[in-house]
Amino acid sequence: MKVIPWRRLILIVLVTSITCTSFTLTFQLFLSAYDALVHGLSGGGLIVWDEKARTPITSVIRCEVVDFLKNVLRVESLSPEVLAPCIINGRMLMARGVDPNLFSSFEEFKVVEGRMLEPYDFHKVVLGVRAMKRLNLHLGERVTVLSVLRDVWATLDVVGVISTDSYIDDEIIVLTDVARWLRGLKNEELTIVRVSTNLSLLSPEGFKGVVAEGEVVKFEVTFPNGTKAEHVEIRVEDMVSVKALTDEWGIAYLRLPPGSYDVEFYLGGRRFKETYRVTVSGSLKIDVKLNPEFAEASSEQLSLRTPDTKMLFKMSELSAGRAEELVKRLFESELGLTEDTLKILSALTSIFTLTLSYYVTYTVVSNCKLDVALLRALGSSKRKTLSLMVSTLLKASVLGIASGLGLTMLTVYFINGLNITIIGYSVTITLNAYVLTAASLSLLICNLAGGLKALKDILGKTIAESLQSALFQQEAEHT
Amino acid sequence: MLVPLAFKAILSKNGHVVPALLIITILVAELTAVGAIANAYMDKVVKTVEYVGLNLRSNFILITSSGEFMDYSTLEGVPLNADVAIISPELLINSIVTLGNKSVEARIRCVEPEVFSKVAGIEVKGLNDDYVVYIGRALADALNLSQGRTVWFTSENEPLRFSVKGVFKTQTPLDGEVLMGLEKAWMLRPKLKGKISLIRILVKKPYDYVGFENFEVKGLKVLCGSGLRSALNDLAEQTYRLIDVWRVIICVLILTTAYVLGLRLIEESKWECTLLRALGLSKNSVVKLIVYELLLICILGLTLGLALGVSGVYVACMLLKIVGLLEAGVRPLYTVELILKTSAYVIASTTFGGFVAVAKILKKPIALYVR
Repeated sequence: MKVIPWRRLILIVLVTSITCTSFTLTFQLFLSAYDALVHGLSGGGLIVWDEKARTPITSVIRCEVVDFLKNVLRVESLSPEVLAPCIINGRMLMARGVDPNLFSSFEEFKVVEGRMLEPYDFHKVVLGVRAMKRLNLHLGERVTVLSVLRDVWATLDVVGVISTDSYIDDEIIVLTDVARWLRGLKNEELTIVRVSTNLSLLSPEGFKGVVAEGEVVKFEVTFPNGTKAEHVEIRVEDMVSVKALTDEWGIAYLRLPPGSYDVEFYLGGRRFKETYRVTVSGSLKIDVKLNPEFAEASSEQLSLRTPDTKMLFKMSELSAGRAEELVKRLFESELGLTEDTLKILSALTSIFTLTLSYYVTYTVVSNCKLDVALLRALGSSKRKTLSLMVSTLLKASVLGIASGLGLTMLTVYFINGLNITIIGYSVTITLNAYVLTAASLSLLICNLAGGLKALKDILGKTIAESLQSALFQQEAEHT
Repeated sequence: MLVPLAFKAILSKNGHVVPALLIITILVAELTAVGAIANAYMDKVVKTVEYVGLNLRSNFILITSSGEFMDYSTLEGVPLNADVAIISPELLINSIVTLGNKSVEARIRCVEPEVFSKVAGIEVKGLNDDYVVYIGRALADALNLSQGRTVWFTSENEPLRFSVKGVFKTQTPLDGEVLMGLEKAWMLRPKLKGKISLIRILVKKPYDYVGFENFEVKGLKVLCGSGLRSALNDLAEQTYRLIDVWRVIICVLILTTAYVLGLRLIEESKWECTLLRALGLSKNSVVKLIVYELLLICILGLTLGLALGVSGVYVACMLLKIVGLLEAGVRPLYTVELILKTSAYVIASTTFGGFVAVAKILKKPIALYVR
């Protein structure tokens, strides 16, 4: 049975549909922009960075960290990178300086056009696929890349376009040397090291086994006869890192200039000396093993000294973790901007938007005063009338919500095509099931609340009063 | 005469006008509030940049061609003033460098040695006198080159032999390049005779575009080293573009509200419109009456919305600060531009939505309404 004229129902459907689109898009747009911001400042994924830096992209770490990660923590897959914000054709974006070999084995990507960088491509640049579209550049073109942080520039030739299905598609890829120049870093410095490893290894707990200058490593040594030694220690001075691998021995990595070094250590009051030769500047690996002959001595202290060496970085200055989490914490502490803040603001916006739907339903049902009064006069009970009206409203609302969701998808497709960016990263709107559900339910509730409120007003009166009021209003409208 | 009539008409239809007015008010308030918060954040970014003292000015100006090359004669058009210290024309070409069996594609920077030495701080004397080049440290390492060695460069005709006069290290991308005299480069590439790729201008004091504001030659681009300023501009543009997309969504809602309101007004004004038409009022005047009614509601909604937006966002920010979700330093920032932009969006949406609804009247003859 038709209770509400179809023209009025169409109005409900139309308004519900538009309100639904507005609700979902407001949420998704702001949350997607937040995601893009987080990705933009994070550098991406699991990273090792300088804890003192405010953001991962402003971090500066020593190249030796790479050796440490490889040799001490046994991280197999990593990519040392330099991130430098830059300007191309008046557009801001991120230049990612990479070691082409390590980057290629670390990151999965598809070469869309041209080729990937090679180790001596000092004047070449590879574009992410979205960056290419945004900058309107083509293969073989020459671009002037202005640094944002320094008064310098680089002239580079586009040799390739890559697609990674990640935020890297919004960036340009250059050699680390070029990115260092744009960023203003020294030759031995990096921004971050992206790693692919067990997160627990890079957590503060994972770093526990690693010590820095001035610290003391305590070894628990078990002698062949089964007794345990007391106070066996290595004092770490000027070392890159020392990691106790087992209870009985440790490996020290020292970075020294070429030359010969006498390493002295003491045990039980006896002095031991060994000479190590370093041929090229790099790591000197010393296996610190307890010789069985020491077992006879009552081992007190083992100290290892290396003269004239310089500490290059301290473990305590390094931090590791999910870059996105770090940036989120930064947003919270620096700007007071969190995902929750955005959700609250979007929710406030959406509450206002929902009032439109509420009032339209209320107005439409209120206008059915005469129809309801007539139904009641013809013998329809209050409950029957109510269920009839509610089922009609429900159908119209569901239709409105469904069309609203369809409209949302179309709009999202359109907006994504506009290639909107924030700090140079594309804001790609993705539909979130929770938001869609919240929008659908709240609209349904608002529509029903509006309808029920109007019905309550109508059904609160007697049939005679309702008829009289409706006829009077109609008459008044026509006169 | 029509405006007072329209005002009286909307007062008599408050049953439908009030909800619509409320919705428009709230939507305008939203537009104003979000714009004000975005302004506040942008302002904070700019102030932070100024506070940390990052350089917004540059020591160099770069003139590049939108194509690959420009004429050497372009130099004559470069405005010279007391602030310009050095002007260095440079030609950038790629060539295969061969040493024995080893070949590498390298960037050759072809320069005028005297001026380039001052610009880059590298001594590169005698580049135009003989077939000599200077090679950057990184490239020299890649080719295992040293001073005094001979290298071959591919040319348009036959490979040319050059002697390595020196190896330089600058810790810049120049370390991966070959430096060659401009005249010798034109011999290597006769087709590029009289062409250069860029003009580098060093200024005495860090000014922005000093004297170059009016330097416009077709196909040339003037770049200032201060990428930070461009970055801030682009950042603002990107942020406001994002908000503009959202504004459009809200404006569609306002448009719908105006359309619904228009339909309701027409529905309710059928009798009076018909009467007015029968009394001799033209179609246009009737349409004007409805449009005035709509505009009055819209202006009222706009005024209330702006007021609610301004006060509401202050209250919202205060509450968010209390619960710790917003930093204390962030205060909503209202600008004349924001107010004008919001007003323009709202008036355009309401007028359009109203017109769509009102257009229906024009299609129907008076008799139909009278009947």
